[in-house]
Amino acid sequence: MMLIPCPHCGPRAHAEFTFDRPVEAITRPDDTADALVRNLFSRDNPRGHSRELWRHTYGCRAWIALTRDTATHAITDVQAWGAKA
Amino acid sequence: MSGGSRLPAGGLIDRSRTLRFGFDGRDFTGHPGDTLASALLASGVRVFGRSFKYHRTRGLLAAGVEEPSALVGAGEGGRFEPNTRATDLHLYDGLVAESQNRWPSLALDVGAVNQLIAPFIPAGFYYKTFLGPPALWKLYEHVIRAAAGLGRPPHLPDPDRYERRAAFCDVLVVGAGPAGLSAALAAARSGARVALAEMDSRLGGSLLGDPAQIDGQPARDWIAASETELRTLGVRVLTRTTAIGYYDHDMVYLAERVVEPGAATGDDGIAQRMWRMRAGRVILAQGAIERPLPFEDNDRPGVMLSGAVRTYLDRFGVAAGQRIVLATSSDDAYRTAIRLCDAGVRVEALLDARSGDAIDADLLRRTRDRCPVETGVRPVRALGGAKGVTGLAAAAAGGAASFIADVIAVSGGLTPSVHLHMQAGGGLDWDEGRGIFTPTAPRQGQVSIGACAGRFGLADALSDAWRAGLDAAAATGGRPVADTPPRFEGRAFADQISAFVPAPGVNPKKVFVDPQNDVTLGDLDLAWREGYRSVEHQKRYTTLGMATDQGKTSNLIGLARLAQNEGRPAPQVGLTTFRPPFIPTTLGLWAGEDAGFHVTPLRRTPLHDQHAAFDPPWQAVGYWRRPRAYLRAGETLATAALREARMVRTTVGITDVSTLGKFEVSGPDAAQLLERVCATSVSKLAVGRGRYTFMLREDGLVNDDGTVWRLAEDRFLLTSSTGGADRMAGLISYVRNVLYPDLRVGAANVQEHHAAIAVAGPRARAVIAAVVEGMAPPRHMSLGRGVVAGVPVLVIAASYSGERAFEVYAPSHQAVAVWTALAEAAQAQDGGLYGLEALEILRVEKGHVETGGEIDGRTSAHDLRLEKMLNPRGGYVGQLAQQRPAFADPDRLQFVGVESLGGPIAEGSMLVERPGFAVQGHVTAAGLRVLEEGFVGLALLKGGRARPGDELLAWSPTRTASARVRVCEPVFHDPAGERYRD
Amino acid sequence: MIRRESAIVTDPVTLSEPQPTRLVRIEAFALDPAFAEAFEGAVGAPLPAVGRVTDAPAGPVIWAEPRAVLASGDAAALSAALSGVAAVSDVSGAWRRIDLTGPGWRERLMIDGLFDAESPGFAPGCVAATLLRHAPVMLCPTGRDGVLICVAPSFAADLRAALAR
Repeated sequence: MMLIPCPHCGPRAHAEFTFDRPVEAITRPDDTADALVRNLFSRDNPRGHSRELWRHTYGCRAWIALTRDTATHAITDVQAWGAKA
Repeated sequence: MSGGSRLPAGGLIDRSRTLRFGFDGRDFTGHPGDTLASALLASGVRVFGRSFKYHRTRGLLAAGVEEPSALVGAGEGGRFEPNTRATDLHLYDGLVAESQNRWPSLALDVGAVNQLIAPFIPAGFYYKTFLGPPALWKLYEHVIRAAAGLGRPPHLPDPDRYERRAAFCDVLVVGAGPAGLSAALAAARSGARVALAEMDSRLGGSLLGDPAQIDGQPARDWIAASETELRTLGVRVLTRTTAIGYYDHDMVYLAERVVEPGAATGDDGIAQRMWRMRAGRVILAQGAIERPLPFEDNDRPGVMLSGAVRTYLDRFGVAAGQRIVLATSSDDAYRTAIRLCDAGVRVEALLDARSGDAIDADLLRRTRDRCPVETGVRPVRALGGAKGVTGLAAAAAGGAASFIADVIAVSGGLTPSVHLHMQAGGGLDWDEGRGIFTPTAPRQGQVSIGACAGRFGLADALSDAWRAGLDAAAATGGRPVADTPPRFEGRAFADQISAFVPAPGVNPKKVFVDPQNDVTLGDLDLAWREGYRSVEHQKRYTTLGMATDQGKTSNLIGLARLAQNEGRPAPQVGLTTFRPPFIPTTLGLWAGEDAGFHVTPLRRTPLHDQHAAFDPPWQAVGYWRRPRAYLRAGETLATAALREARMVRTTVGITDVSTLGKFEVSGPDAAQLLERVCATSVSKLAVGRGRYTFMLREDGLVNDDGTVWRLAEDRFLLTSSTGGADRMAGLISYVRNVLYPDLRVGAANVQEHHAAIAVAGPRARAVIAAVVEGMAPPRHMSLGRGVVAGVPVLVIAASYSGERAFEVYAPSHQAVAVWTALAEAAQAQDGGLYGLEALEILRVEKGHVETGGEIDGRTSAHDLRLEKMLNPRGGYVGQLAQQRPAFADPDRLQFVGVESLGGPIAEGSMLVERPGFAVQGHVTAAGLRVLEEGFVGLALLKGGRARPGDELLAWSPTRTASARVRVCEPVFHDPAGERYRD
Repeated sequence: MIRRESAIVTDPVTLSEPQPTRLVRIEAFALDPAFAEAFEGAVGAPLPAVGRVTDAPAGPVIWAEPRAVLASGDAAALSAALSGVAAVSDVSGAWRRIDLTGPGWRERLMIDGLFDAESPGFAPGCVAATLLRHAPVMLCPTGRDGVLICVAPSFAADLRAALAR
């Protein structure tokens, strides 16, 4: 199982986290129906880098953004959500 | 005379102690340090099992886990473990083992008749047979099932425990042969946190029993000293522990045999342990596996790998046979010949496929001093039959020759074990001369050293390993020491040439490649002729490499044959994918403690013991357990549930609803957050008031429902369903932290903080008044605060059942006293406890939608008749998504009631015009009228809101139940809510 | 039966379950100096750093989330004291405590665990939220050769039974 470096808790087992979605699929209540359908259901699924929203559900409960290589599972650039880069 | 025997001296066994064991009903003895294989070999046993398809007799091929043929069932009763390699079972007193895949006995097996029809059952025959007539398929299935498989499964529950452990290290070393030990020493001395895993029962690997000298001392002393030093340095040394899988981010699973297969466990009851080892770097020192040579009848008992013959001699003190002939294409067999001769075992000849000038002159001379060596000679056919080989026919440039022997020791060279390297992700280089793949381009933190990297010489392995250990320690924060690596002064005789092609004139149909699945070179050629030319097709069509040994001694030979047929080099043809586990593993090892009662975690409400006192039938709701009903003597679940529901409608009942989701949302922006999450308005609630609410998903469909209560100007309590509680926690956190992180609000998950008890019925108000001090029973949809038995409680007035009802919230660690007080007061009002079944009957009659039933992830607010409650100001999750065209489709599944025109309605029934006609909907919940006669239900029906009065059939063919029903409004009791509205 | 010299030495541990105490969850509206100051004034101890536990007069303060901590005290009083900078909720019933003491305490946490409790860096003053035997827990090493395990009450009985085996 993957090892994900939580910005607060350090490297932790994948089982403590929940994958939420690719960052580009985040929708807001004021998105139009068309924009919503596009973001939720019509996404590219490229091989390679994916910028993703995860939650450290069974750790610090924080939301984090990270880049995962969908071919190799290499994980880079992990940031607490909303953190100034 | 033929067969193995124990030599009078030698071996790493404890000859002073005798172990007794049984095999196929016969008694045998052996010594501590033996494997089942070595002890049986020492006793002269030649036949260990029968092959899968042809039921040909099989003997030992190897001495390690690569053994494809000597498979036994070990142990008895619930401990019985089939398909156990006799070479991987360390002998213990009282072991009971049996051979497999034979009936009635190993010596006389009815299945052997398959050999007579062998021409008709080559690889893949079952794709062309058993096709018709269809009426006979059931018969074919029966016959095929009986014939399939090797071992038989145990039929009794497993009495043992299996533990799973997490572990971490800087450097994991897999394999404790000379390379592994060297690497572990280097890393440990350099300050790394080291773990060393060895599948054997002792450290040493290929050095076990080897007379080589390392650092000027005998190998066995060097091994012992290394082990002592490693333990002193705090290295985690794990024996009988096999690395079975390499996963993401340098996670390696290690399977530990705490006790041997079939053996009784110690006081802790643990039979095996799965280590989930996270490493910084992984040093792979798994060694290499010898491969056999291709010749006719090379599957007969007595054909053994030459390295294995040497292991039986040096490690176990067993001569594998009385007269041994060796056939080889590598230097390694010479070491076996020399050792055999020095131990006094009769060696007929060593036959080398290579020409004399390709072999080291010194090695030739030393060996010829002891036994005849013939070069340029290749094996053609094993002589003998089902009882074992009697000799070997060979071919040389000068003509044919034959040799008398009861053991043919073969060596086609060594194959580096690249399994874990490949599982981790990596590449392979092909060495055409030696016929091997070696690891390259590692994709994770792995490095291969020693024989598994193709470095067969001992001196090279030791120094490579040392370097690797230092590098791994440095990479993980250690400080590499300046010590010198261990030294081996001898010469490395490690040459080999690939010998995949049999001698000319050899019949490929008689050359076995995969002895377990009976796959011959002829089968591989047949597959190729029939068009199965990718290596993946070859594997699956012929089943080469698909047996329990996963082709450890056969895959490369198969690959070479395919390459030869294709006329392409081996690397272009490619290898099949390497997958865990490296050796067969038992299910218990993976299940760990998650078996039997503990297969899922158990969540108990704070009032669990109060329910358990009645020994009720339990309902699993996710991980929770909730009582279904409190049965009295003579009651069934159905009669108890109806009694309880009637009790709620006529007097009063209390039930435990602690599992509901609950959230305390507070702060200046509390109402704002709630109006993002909930689809109804919230901010208009006055302090002390509450309302029903529901939440949508981002795609506009209903997610969950619940209630919301204003406890203070900027403090709310939100409840949700049990099943939706975790989903709601995620959604609230998502909205608060991802979408609107600047809101001035806090959202606390108080599901477990509050126990909740519902009090429902015409006398509910009396119960609340009697029990709760400091507060009058609140009006409908209002709340109050009071004290029960000294415990501060929150009381809300809301009805789920359709009667006047309240929910009493108390801190979970103080809830028992509150429950007890309420239960007594309910009894005093001729009421009592009610469970989940009654709760369901009541809510169906009242027409409340439920998450998981009517809220099933496909229904919208309009479908559920909730559209009037949608917050007109909008801004909530899922609001605009409701504008998607599909939401306006008149044919959507919509929430309706159904009343039976006859008997009971089966839950889950399809709503149809007539049996077999198009399905128009389904019954989500079936119930009955509580105080009157009649059966009712709730359903989702296409266009249902426009169809009151329609008559349909509620049809459940799997339960052979059907009832004619009439569609109606989804409420059967007190539609106006007069029983609880003020 | 062969008895191998086991690589595992199962050291003894004892379990005890202290009574629940008054526990609150404090969620800051923003992690700014105003909050930090108000917190220290109300609780009597500075805000703990990420992943740390600090001592306050009423009991330990445990870092839980990026902007939430668990502290001891009266919810109403703390809510008033932190009005305008944080939301305070009573969560006294939301956590059960299991005290695991004895030389084998680290090893026990590795069984069906995910977290490196054997790391020497995991010492008193640290808190780690993780999963143990399928239950969400917070682990706080104590100075008494042991660890305080905080677990939701619904999982507590199962976890206690599993730890005691």
